[in-house]
Amino acid sequence: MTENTRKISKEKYLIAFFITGGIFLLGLFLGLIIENERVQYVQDQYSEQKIMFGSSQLQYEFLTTLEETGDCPVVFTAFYANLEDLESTRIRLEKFANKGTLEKDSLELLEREYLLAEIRYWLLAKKAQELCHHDVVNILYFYSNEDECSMCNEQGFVLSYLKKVFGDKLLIFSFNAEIFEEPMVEILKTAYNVTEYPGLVIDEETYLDFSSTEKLMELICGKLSSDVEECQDYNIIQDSGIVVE
Amino acid sequence: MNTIATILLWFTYFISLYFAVFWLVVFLTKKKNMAKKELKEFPFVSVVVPAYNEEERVGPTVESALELDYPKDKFEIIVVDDGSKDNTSGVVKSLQKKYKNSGFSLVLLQQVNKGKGAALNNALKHAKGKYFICLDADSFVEKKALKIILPYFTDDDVAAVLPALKVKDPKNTLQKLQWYEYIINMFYKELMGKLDCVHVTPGPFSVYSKRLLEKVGGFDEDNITEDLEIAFRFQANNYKIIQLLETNVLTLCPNNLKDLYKQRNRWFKGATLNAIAYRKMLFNRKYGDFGIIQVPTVILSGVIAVIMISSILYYALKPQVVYIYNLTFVNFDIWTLLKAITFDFKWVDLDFITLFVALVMITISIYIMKKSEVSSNERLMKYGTFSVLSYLLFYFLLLGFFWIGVLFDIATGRKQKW
Repeated sequence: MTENTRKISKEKYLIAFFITGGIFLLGLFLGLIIENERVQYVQDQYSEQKIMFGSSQLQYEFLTTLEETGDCPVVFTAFYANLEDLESTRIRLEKFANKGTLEKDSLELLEREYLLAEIRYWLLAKKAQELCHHDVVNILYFYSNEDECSMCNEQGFVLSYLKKVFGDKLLIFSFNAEIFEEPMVEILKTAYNVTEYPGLVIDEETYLDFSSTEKLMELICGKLSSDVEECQDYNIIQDSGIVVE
Repeated sequence: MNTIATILLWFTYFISLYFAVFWLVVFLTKKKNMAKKELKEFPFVSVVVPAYNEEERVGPTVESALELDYPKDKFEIIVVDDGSKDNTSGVVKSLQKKYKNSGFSLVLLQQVNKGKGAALNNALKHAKGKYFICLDADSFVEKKALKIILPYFTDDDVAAVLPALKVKDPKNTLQKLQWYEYIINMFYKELMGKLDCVHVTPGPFSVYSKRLLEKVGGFDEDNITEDLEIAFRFQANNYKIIQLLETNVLTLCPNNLKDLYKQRNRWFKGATLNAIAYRKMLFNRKYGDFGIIQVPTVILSGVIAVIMISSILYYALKPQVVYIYNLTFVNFDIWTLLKAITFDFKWVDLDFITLFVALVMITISIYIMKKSEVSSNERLMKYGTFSVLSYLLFYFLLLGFFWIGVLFDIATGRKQKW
């Protein structure tokens, strides 16, 4: 064995460490900028949606002053589009909040604002549907995180599917009931006796635990008028057991 | 659990990036190469070809050795037939007849099948040369190799001098990917040589000091990667291993996934087991940069590869698996879902952290590939854009899968034969 002293390139290790650390810090800095941008984006969307909601509210109040409500369909096309937009931003916001680190508090505050906005939309939708005699079913959907609710992901998927089937005939208002203790959510849960998740309230009736596609189709079609195309296909399937293309 | 997984993943990113940056720092701060050395005298050398079932390849390999630009009376070729079941010995005997009066020695040793390490040790007992050269039966050496390599045995501590290793005539995509891999490996190995960190003396034309080889006890006959183990043993005894790029050896490589997996399974497993066996060198200042950076790199390579591939698979496949599972709740009515599909992409949706990490890694990889082009004197676009992109974006995934197999074998104690 040779007795030579082996060289250690100390300075190279240090330089590499600082460069690597620098790259990581740059990444963190960029991440912070992105989080700020996300918060700003959601805040801008919310400001826009507040105005849209205010407009829908005003249109409803105007309609109540008229004797005839023949313009209802025109008014409420915009209302349903705004509601979809709100839901889309709310889902996006939830994803940001799950990934968020430094701006987590701001994002959670925005989540709460969106939740309250959904409740306002729901209340307005109920009143407008009565006024305009709309053939629409409203579903309140109470869900929680994976630890508290093992079937919420599946229930959410079923509801999204049904929304695609029924379009504007089905309105879904989703509330993440356990992220933060919002008094209004607690009031709704108590009013409809939602004690576990997923919990659905369909036209004032409460259904706890997972509700399958078939069960929800039956419930929704039972509440819509008989000439709804989607339910006609469903009724044929129910009667004959044959799949209709 | 999620927090632990995230911390582990980010630690893996940091370590991978650190290794890449470290070798770039070595590259950027390396001194100019020493002036090329000239061979002033011609010591006797022994070129050893260990062969097992190589009847088709042993002839061309021996004949490439015969073409070495070196005095014929100053080298011998020893073919060790390691109990072949084919006509390997017959081919060598024909070559002995063919070159009987040409002035050099072609020796055939036959033994029962005991593995490459035993074959090399058998040759070591019979070798007359001052330098002992291993030439795998699937390798082809340049004529000038010996004249370039031998001058680098400048002092008594140089145990081995290695040529650059390249893939010979890659035909299919898999072989082209390996061609890139070897080019880039040579870039790294040259840098390792600068820090006295070379950790393997590959089979194709590694030139050993016979004296030092005998001093450390020859090759480990029970080792599945005896070429790596001997390098570790040299390093443990503080002997030097020099990596050159001035001369090339071309080697054949696997042309299908099954053979490639077998080869890499042996290499990766051998590397891991040998590094663990030599764990006394881990972070040990007595062994210089080899202990501080190389041994940890060898040990951590597999762990990093498995964590990276697992996380990529998890994040890429989990949403698809969840989606298919959810479809069972809507009777697989994909048509309704497709009819109502909307494109709702916003730039804030992008996963910037993952994109940033990927961008940094790809940038470093491209830079290293460009530098490898220069150091290997090859054009990276030689085999087209598709091959380059496949190497850059997908080859590491393939190697990651191989590592999963290796760690599974090690965990379950699966025995490996050479």
